[in-house]
Amino acid sequence: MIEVKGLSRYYGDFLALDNVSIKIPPGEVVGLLGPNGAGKTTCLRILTGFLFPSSGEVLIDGVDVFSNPLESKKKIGYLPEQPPLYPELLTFDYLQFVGRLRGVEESSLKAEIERVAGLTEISDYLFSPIRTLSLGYRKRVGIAQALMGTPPFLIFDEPISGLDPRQIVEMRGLLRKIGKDHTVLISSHILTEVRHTCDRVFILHRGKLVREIAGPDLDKIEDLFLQYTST
Amino acid sequence: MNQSNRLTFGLSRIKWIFIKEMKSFFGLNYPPVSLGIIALLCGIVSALLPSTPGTTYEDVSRALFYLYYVFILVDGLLLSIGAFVQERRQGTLELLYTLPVTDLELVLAKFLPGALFISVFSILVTAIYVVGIAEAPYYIALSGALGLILAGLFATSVALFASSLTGSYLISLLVSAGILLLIEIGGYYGGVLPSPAKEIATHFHGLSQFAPFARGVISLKACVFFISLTIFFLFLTVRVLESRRWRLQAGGNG
Repeated sequence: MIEVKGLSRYYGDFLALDNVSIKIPPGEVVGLLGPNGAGKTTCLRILTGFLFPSSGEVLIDGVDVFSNPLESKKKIGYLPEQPPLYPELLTFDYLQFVGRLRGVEESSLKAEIERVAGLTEISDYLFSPIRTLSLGYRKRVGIAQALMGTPPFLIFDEPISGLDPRQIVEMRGLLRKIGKDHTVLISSHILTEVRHTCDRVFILHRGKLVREIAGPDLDKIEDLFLQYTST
Repeated sequence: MNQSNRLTFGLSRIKWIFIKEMKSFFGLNYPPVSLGIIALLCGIVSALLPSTPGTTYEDVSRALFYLYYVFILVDGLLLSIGAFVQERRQGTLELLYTLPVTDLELVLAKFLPGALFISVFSILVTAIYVVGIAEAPYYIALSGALGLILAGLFATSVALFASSLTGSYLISLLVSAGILLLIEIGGYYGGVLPSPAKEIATHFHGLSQFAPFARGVISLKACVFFISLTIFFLFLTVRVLESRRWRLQAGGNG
C-alpha cells in the first residue's frame, strides 16, 4: 500500500501541494486527475523520492521514502512525462542498465528483459538504438524500464501525452494489462483517459486533494471534475 | 542488510553505472573527438620540442610535462563538463534519482570514466613522447605521469562539480574553467598579495604543485594537495545533487 500523509511542498513562496493525504490500496489502478498546475507531477516526484516535501510523510509498503530511500525505491517503477532514455544506447542495453540497478540477478536479467519487452511489445526493437524509435515506442521502452525487476508499485506521469490516437488506444490496453499484476498510479489531465483505465481517482486542484472518486461515481467523473475544479 | 552487503551492493551499482557511462562515451561523438584532438596536440608539441638545438632530456621532459599539464586540465574538463548536464537535458537524471542509487554512488560512477581516460592518456603520452622520443629516464617519466594523473583527476572533479550546477554545457565549461583559472592565475600573481593571502594563493597554485613531478620528484605535499582538492570537489558535487531535491522548481503539467 502507498500511504501519503499530510504532504506539502513549497516552491519558494508558492504552495504547490497543500496537506495532501492519500491511501492507495494494493492491486488497483489509481488516477491522479487535475488541471495543469494542480500539483500532480510534484506529488508523483515526491512519491518516487525525486523531490523532498516541505512536510509530510510517504510510506511504500510501510517503508519511509525519505528515511529509507534505497529500500523504498526498489518497490517503485517510475515513468516521468518525458521518457528518461539514453538515445545513444540500444533498448536492450538500457533495460539491462535499469535492471541491474534494480538488483535483478545477472542469471535472470536476459529473461527479465525479454519478459518486459514482450509485455510492452518492443521485442522487435530490443537491438535498435533508442534514438531511432518513435515517441510511442519510446514511451513503451519507458514503461518497460519501470517494469524491470517487477516492482509492486508503478507510477506513470502523463503516460499518454504526446501520443497519436492509435498509440493512445494501444497504451490504454497496455496500462490495463499491467494493472492486473501491479498497483498503478497514473497522473493525467485528460478525463476520458482516467475514466477508461482507473478503478479509483483522486482529484487535485491548486495543490489540494478535493475529491476521491471510486465505484459507480466514476461514471459521473466529468461532472464531478468540473464541480470541484471550477473555482 | 549489514555493512559489508551494503558496500558490495553499492560497489556493484557504481560498476553498472560506470559500464553504462563507457557505452555512452563511445556512443556520443564529442568525448572521443575531444580526446583525439588533445592527443594530436600533444603529439605535435612533443615532436617539435626535442628537435630544438642545445636542449637536454631534462629540459625537454620538463617542458613537455608543463605542456601536458595544461592539456590534461583541458582534457579533464572536456571529459566531464557534460556528465550531469546531459542527464538533465535528456531527463535521465530523474530516472537515476528514482532508482535505488545513492548520490555518492552516482558521483563516483560518473567520476570513474574520466579518471580512467585521464590515467590511460597520461601514461600513453608519457610513454610515447617522454620516454620514447625525449629519451628521459624512467624516474622522471613515472613521477611526471603520476603528477599528470593527479592533476587530471582534480580537473575532472571540478568539471563534474560544474556540471552538477547547471543544464548548460557552456555554463558548465565556463564555471569549471573559471575555477581552474582562478587557482592557476591567482597562484601565479599571489606573490603581490599581502600575507597571509600570499601564502594561501601560492599554495593553491596548481602548476607550482605540479612542478616537482616534472623534475622527477614525487612530492607528498603535492599529492595531498591534488587528492584533497579532488575529494573536496566530489563532496561538493554530492551536496549539490542532494540539494537539488529541495531546490528543484515546479515542472510537468501539474
